[in-house]
Amino acid sequence: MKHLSDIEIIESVNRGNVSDYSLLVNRYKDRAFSLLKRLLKNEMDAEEALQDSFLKAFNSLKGFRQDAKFSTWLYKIVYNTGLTVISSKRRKIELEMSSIDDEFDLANHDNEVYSTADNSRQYILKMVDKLPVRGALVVILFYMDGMSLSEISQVMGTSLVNTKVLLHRSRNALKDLLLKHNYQEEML
Amino acid sequence: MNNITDEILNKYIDGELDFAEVEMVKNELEKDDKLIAKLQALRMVDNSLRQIEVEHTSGNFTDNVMKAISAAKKAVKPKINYFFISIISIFFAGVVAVLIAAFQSYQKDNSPSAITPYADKVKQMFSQNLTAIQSIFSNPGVILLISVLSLILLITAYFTFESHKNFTKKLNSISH
Repeated sequence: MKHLSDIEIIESVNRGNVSDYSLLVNRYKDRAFSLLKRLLKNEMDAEEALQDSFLKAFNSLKGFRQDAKFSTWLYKIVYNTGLTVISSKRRKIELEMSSIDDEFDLANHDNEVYSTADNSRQYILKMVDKLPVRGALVVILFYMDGMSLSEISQVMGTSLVNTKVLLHRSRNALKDLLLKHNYQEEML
Repeated sequence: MNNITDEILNKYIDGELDFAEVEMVKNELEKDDKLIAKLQALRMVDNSLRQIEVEHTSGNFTDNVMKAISAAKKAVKPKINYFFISIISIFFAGVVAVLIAAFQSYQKDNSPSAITPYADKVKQMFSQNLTAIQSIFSNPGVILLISVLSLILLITAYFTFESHKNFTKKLNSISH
């Protein structure tokens, strides 16, 4: 079967082939879910917010301007929907605290994660969930979705500089933990 | 002590440094074991993060989304624009009123015994109506009324257009 581009699918949906929208849902649902799960820290909330995001995206599909990638546009909807859920569930304070000046101090979670991780890779991946929310989101979008820093800044509504700072701080925090446990010696 | 910061190391692994900066980092790496350890740890983080696993939604997620979309489509009834309908109705009522008035004036002035060609009747009807319309529009009160109505119509159209524009902008800012 021919692999349709996002734009081809959108054009088909806009022509009235609503069922083609399921191709876009299948293409992005899991990665968007990974993002929401980190943002909302709850699987059910994440899935509900994701469904809501896909509905919003469908309703605005005719207004989608092709000057940005569909994935960037969709992730922006997903991210904003996640923020709405947070504010409606009074978790706004938690998010506001998670600003660019967040303490990337992961020491509180270190012992717990270190004792359960079998190797450095598992340890790092578990620690990603302990990063401040915005830091974790930048990491997910950068590494899992392969987005550029510029695209991430569009999704999250942050400046390019701040996005880069968030990525570097997240990596540095993880790097410091690896050094603490001498994991880097595994590479030698 | 070297002057290679974490920031520079991050840029080094991302390939964002220029040739001179890369050489500087390489020189420092040759003589600083701590810096090597830092770089190794950072590379380890970078490599591990590239293997982040995607989380999966429940099996029937796509079906649920498509069902929700079709349910939402059924629930949405076409929105009736009452403002537009009322403007069109007033316009057509006016046209009908003018036609009725024209028809009555034609019947009144036309004797049944007169046998004239059809074209003349039409011509006569139009010339009579034209005079009637001219007399209506020469009345300053009517002109004032029409001007006020036109002004109200223009202002309403402007605000309707602006409100639609703002709504579209708001919708785009939410979704984009």
